[in-house]
Amino acid sequence: MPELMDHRVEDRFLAVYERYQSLNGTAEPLSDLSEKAIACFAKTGFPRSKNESWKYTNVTPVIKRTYQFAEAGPASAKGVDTLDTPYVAVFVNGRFAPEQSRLDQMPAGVSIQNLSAAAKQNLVQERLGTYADYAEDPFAALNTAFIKDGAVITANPGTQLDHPVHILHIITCSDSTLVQPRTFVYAGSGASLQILQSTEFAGSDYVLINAVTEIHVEPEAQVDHLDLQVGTPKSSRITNLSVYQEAQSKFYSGVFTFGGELTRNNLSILPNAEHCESLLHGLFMAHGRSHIDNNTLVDHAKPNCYSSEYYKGILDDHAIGVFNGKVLVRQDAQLTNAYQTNRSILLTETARMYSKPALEIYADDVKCSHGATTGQLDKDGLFYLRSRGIPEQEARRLMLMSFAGDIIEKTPVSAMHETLYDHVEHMLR
Amino acid sequence: MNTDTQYLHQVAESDYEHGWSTDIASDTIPKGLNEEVIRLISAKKQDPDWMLESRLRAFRHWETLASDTDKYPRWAHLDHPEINFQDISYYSAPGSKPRYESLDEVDPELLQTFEALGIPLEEQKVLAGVAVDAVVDSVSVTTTFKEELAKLGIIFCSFTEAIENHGDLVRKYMGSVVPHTDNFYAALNAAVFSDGSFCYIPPGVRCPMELSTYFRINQAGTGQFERTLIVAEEGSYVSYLEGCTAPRRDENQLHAAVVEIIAHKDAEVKYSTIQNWYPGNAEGKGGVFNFVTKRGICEGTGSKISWTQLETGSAITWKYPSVILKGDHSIGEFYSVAFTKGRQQADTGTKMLHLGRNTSSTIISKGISAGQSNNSYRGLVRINKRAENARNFAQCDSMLLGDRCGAHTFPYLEIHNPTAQVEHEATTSKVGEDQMFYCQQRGISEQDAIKLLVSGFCQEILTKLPMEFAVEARKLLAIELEGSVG
Repeated sequence: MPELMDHRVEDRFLAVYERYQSLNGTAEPLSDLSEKAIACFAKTGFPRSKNESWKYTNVTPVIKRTYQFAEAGPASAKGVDTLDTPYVAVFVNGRFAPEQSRLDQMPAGVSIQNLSAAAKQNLVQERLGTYADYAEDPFAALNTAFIKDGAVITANPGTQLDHPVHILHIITCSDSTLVQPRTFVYAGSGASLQILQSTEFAGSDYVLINAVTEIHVEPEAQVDHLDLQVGTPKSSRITNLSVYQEAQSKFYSGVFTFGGELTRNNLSILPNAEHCESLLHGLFMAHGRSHIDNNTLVDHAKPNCYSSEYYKGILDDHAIGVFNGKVLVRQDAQLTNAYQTNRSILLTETARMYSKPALEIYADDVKCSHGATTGQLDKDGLFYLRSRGIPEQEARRLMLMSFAGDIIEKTPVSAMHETLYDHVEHMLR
Repeated sequence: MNTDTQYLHQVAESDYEHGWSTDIASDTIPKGLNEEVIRLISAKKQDPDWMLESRLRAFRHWETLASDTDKYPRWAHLDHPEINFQDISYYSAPGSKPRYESLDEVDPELLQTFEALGIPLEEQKVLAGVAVDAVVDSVSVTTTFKEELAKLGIIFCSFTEAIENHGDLVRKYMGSVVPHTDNFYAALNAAVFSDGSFCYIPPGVRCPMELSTYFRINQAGTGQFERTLIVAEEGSYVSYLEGCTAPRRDENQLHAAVVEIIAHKDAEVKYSTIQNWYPGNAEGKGGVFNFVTKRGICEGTGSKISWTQLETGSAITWKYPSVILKGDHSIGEFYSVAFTKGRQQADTGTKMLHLGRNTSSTIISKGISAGQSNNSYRGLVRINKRAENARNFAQCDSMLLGDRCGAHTFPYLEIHNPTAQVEHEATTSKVGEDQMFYCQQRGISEQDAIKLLVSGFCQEILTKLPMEFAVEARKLLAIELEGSVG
């Protein structure tokens, strides 16, 4: 297991790359991509606080730690807790674990494969790495440089998947570890599918997850993507979710983050044809010293598209929340309707919220608006409930549940509603 | 003569009085910036030692910033060529050198605007920077005002005079709100500022008139590095006007002004600006770069600072009038209309820093973009840990007139206290088709309808301007709109 030495942080990763290449080599068809990505990483380096989009999030303490690069670990002994669905792909420490996955009942037209097996396909060859911007984002570059295993989901035109696909990552390493999951989704014309990604921590030491997910949505297709992250005080996670939409396609993103040491969710959506619909919903709850940063970009390049973004956060103890949302409407994107809302509640005097909802608009015939509010629980509401004989503690819980419920209820993956409420409940305890 | 032309007349007159008879050579120093230049400026201004020290401190700090290209502020949504700071003369009174020999050489578009504003020919010459031989005297007006103010104990003079006569006050307050370490351009200003205005309102005094730099522009000579300091003692009130609606041809490309306001307990300061500097020609060449640091501090309980601005000029506007709400129950306000056309770029907004308890702030910003311009609102609301029950409301609306312009909104909300109530709203849209249709079917021409709708869009802000300013502002907006739509 190659270990990261203590040099300039970037150099450590570059050195590991060198050794990693000589030891394992990347799966042949991906070595070009991997070379390009590491060159980009060497050039950009990790973001510093001067970087406007990293203004409120300092990754240095997290990346400065010494990490092992994850190898396939022992499969966890206990039965894995998955969504009630016949389609489950399990990755242990970033490596595909076929014996724990359930993929035998996949209907015709839909396939889930491990990336190292699927890498030879033309579709993957042509498109992998074209949506996640590894030239600009050092984390996407790092993930791409070490690309090996990952989930490749393809749906042929017109296929409708009856149950969601659950991609479950299990981290079992006992030493501090860097895990870099990769997911690639291709939904053919008119196809529709739902995907849930979640992580389970079975290890005890620090974990840094650096995930990249790319989703291509063909005309009239619909993809619902749900990202559920229940962190531990020792788990950090950086994700890059990049979505490309074709004409009249629909995409839903639900990002649910509960706790974790440091979380950065980069979400970038490019509706690159007319009449696309993009929904971006998010709920983040943090306590202790958690830091959760949601960074989103909707890049409206073509006319007649609709996007709506709604993020809510509840911050307890010393937690820090960041919402950094940008809607970009390019010159051609006339008749765009774009909305953006961020609401946050601070529960303690030490919690903080940084909200930066930005609009960048170059087309004149558009309707765009954004709003942000931050405050504490509504006093009148609390008073109302208490005057009806509900104890203060319970009244607060009720109000926070309904605040979070707003986002949960909008999730099209209805099988997840209960689980999500349970997590909110657990966080409020 | 109606009120507004009279007003403009006064502006022009005071400029005349400054006269072109002063020795031009002595008013300009060679290009470049180094310690020698700072000492030279200081010597020309006959600074006391402490002032020179302060300039040198600022200059040394600026040097460290300038030597590291990473330290130059690049976060704004602006695109301009690198500024060569060694290629600028740091001491030259504006208008001291005629730019043109006759009006025929002046940009005809500029003249059309003068025409529309109703400015007499002679004044047009002054504003455009054409050599003028007539010197009109307006000393009497100025003196009358000065006497009246002096009776109340109000000090209103140029910065140079203030350093000479009220050194203690200047020393106490200068740099207390915008220290030279604040930012790149604040450091530059603190090192090389040539003059500016100083205003002191004694305790309990309500300044009976709108103070305007118009009245003493002649004595002060607004240099390109202007410095304004306003101190309002306990329970006092002052309304201060800055700027001019008439487009000003200016030979200085780079402007870096600093404005500091100190409001003590229960004092109120209202600061209004109209800025309409030369935005450059149709290709965006030759316009003014305006990098301004404006900040006020609500020092005492119950104090209030209100910024109102109408920004229509300059090729580049980089300006964030801010309020530090230090005193409990203090209030900060920011009302802004920013209009950009042609290839203008504006990145403007505010900062509301809540430190005291029960503080409140309001931000209302209207951006209108036309032509190929880019207009950004960038505003920070920060609620510090101790700022119990802070309240903020921000509304930023943008209007796009044309399909090649951009309107952007970059709000920053930093909340460190749970009792805060912070709200931000923003919308972007074009002129309503229904409203246009309504106007046009009532026989109102397209152009007039747009003027009407834009005026309505800005109504909220324009009413905050003092009377004379409001009238001019409306007229100015209407003129700016002409030719930028259709």
